[in-house]
Amino acid sequence: MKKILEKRETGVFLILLLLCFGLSLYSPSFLSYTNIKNVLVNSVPVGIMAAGMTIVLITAGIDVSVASQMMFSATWLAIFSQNSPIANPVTVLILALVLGAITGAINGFLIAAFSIPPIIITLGTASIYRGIILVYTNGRWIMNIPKWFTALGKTYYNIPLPIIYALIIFMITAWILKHTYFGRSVYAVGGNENAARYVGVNIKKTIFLTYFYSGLLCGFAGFVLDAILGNCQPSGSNGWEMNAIAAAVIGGTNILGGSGSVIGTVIGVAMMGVIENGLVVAHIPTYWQKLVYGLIIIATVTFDVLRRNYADSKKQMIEIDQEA
Amino acid sequence: MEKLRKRFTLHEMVLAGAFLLIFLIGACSNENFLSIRNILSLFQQMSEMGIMAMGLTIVIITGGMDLSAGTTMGLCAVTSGLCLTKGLGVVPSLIISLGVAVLCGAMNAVLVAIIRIPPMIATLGTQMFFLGAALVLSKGNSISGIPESFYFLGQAKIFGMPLQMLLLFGLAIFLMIMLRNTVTGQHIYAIGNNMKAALFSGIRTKHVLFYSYIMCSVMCCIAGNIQVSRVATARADMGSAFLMTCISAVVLGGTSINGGNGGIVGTVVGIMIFAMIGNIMNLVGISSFWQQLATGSILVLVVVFNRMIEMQKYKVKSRKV
Repeated sequence: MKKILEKRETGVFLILLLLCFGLSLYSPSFLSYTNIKNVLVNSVPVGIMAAGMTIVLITAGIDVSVASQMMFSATWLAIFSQNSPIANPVTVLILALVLGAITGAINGFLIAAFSIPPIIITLGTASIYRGIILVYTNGRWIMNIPKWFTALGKTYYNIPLPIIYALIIFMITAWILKHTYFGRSVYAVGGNENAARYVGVNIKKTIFLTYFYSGLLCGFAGFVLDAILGNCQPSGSNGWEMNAIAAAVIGGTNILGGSGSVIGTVIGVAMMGVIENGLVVAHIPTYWQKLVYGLIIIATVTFDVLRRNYADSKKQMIEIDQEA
Repeated sequence: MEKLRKRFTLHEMVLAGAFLLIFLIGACSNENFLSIRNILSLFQQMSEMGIMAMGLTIVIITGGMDLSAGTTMGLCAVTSGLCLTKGLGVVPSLIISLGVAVLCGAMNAVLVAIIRIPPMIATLGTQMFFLGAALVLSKGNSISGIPESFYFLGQAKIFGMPLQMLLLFGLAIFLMIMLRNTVTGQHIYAIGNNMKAALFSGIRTKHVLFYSYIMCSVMCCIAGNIQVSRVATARADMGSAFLMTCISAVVLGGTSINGGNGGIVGTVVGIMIFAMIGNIMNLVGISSFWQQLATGSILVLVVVFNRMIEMQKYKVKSRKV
């Protein structure tokens, strides 16, 4: 019991509950089934990206190209589903994963092979992926995605399919992090790269796989986005990478690497969705949103770093005590 | 050849080659490229980005990064736009906007130097925060109705040359002297090379970091005000599109992304290359989407190329040992 209380996730979860409670007092419509469903369904693409982002952040990396990767996949899927004779749910899903795998592999290769700061590479590739789809579509929207495609994003028997997708992705990611060699080496690399190297972890392979997996999830997020929206705006979802990062960071993933969990990220995603919805419910203009998100990121990161610095200074004191 | 190799590094030669190549492509593809009017307008367009990139150079030399540069520019632009439309004079508006820039820089520096958050992450947060602040200040709209008394900054000409071009070169010379010939400048390089060694040799690293980040924000502020004056409107997302190009130009100019070396001259050449590419594309009539693609590709290629040279050097050194 004490262990649960000490966890970061618990604290964030309690804040989330408080927030929901406050909002439901302010506006009774907040707790209605439709509103909650909308909040959750709209957060699904960001949530899927945030799951990948969690792994990337645990290795002490960062991927600011996730939104571009998602739109890269979403745009080609929309074009493919409209024009190709062999387009059906299975081929579209395969194409989504292949596109995500390609963009993720390019990121992973460049970062791992040349050990360049990931933020620089992903800044560059973000505008490459975005540039490619903008050049091809000339910035025009792709309307009227086929019915069979949007049917994959609808609600059946009061259960929205996108939420099922997200749950599956979260469970797979949590399982990978907890129970596979790759998942454990992700924590090792992020915690102490040198130590991980001496233990025999293949650093380059781990980092490559991290960005590869993140790309894969982005490809899938593009698939879900198309299914939910029914159209595709190649220049859209700008800045969603920040939402994904914020969700992971709020959920307790350490931005300096080494710790974090998928459950925390899930709570973080829900929190971001609730805040966004809360601003709408409380009739606050949407342009406040960025300010609030920015403040939240700065505050949580500051808190995390201060806590780690404090822990480090404690550790040093213990060492000195022992020497004396 | 041998002499050349002694005086210049490989990167500098490649940079000069790329510059000449793009210049030649421009001259061949369109007869208007070499006209004085086009060259002056080229300088006019690049000076905003150039000033911002020079500020970024300082921060990157310290081994840091300022991802909030673009939105700092937007926030300063909106601030001075608001002051001007509310009826404040030109000088007070500029001073208030500079004050906001100093605050932005100080905020970054507090997060980076005192709380010790990795610069990329800290400025990623402030990037969003400044953009949000600018959006809230401007209520999400663009601010028009800038009084004509403010137009001098971005539209005036002295002896036929645009004012901001002179400003760009003036600031470039100032920063060059600052980096090369002052103690602070040398401290900036020292911090970028080895933060711990700098600290142990008695450099007040926190002061230097504060100076660098505030300098960068002030540069962004100047760039923002020039743009407000040139286009006679202020928008919150004004500088956001500049950030990528500026970082690419700094890296292209030979400043190591890990800090410790590089300089202003390289950055100015880098910005010129990007400005020429954009200019040629405009003259030939290629859509701006291609520019985004080109900028990203050049950034990735240059970083990878630089890294390969470094790895080569490192290998040679370790073999000698």
